Amino acid sequence: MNPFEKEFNFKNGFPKFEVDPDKNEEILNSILHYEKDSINHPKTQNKKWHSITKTSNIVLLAACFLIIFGALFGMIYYQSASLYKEDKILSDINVAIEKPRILLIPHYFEKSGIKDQKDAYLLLENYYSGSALNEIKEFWEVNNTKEVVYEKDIEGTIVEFSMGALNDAEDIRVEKIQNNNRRINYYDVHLKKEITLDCELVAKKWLIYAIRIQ
Amino acid sequence: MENKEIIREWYSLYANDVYNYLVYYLNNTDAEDILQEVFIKAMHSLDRFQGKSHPKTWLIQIARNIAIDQSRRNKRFTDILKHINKTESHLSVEKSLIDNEEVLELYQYINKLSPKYREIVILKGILELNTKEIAIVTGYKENNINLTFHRAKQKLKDFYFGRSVIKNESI
Repeated sequence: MNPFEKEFNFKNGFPKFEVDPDKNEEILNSILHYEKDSINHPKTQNKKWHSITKTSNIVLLAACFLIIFGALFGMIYYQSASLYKEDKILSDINVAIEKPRILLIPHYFEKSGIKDQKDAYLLLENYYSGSALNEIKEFWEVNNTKEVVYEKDIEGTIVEFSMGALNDAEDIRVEKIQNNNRRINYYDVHLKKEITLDCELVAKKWLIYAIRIQ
Repeated sequence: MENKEIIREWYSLYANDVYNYLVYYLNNTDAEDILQEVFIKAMHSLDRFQGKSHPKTWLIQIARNIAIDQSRRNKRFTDILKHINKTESHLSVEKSLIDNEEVLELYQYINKLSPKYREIVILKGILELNTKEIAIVTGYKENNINLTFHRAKQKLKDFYFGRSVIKNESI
């Protein structure tokens, strides 16, 4: 009986409540088990902070990915778009027109370093494909042993067009044909003939796959 | 000693004191879950316990904070429940375990005191904590605790011995 209870003249004081002995062990185990869990997992506050930082990291990471991929796709798109610009097409084709001259004009051929048909083929392969490559290659195989005379040996053949150049051409027109390919029409001032070239894009370079001289 | 060992020891020594406090404070014998919560919280905060107060006082302080939260939650819940059922559901100490009529009557009066008076009476009168311990648990000044206890006791005596009608909200 404590002084407070005595002041109220109690015969018995306030009861003392105790945890049910059967539950005691269970409660203690729960507490200690909870501690094990909490060792493996951060505290709630940390969890919250962790989740905030985690979320912001994910957002940041996603933003970075978006920017990187955006820039990458933008660059690829820009590059691929620039491949179809007329300047690029005409520049590639102009070089392609000039290359067979190395094989056809003895003066250039001697200085070219081309020793056999394989070298010649490799040279042509970089600028021609399809029927154009075959025709120029055949012409080379027939004529590589003799001195080429323009009027006699080249006129009327498919390689005649390489005697001219886009620099000397007039009325150059680039038109789109099937499969993103391009057709270039021009009037060759040197040959005084209309030339038509069908071109395709291979490994970021425009190759000639068909030639027509009118 | 590891935290686990300390908590195990404290549980064996002070679990009943904390439980006793919770039962009287919450007026509910179903306080085992909160008791468990108190010790879990104590375990988490053990590194911050500097030993300036007695462990029992510290544990009761934690219990008080949880009990206050619990009371707020219960109030909301019982308000809703009253709205629905017009009945109270929890197992109160008044109804269940105090079979001594005079003690029960005084406890009923205590429960009708203002929260501060009630708390001081429970801590000092029933649980027999000294003024310094109560100051640590509640954060009130020692002088204020003594004065409050004196006034609360006076009120209780007036009503208990005088059988005056006591209002629910406060004295």
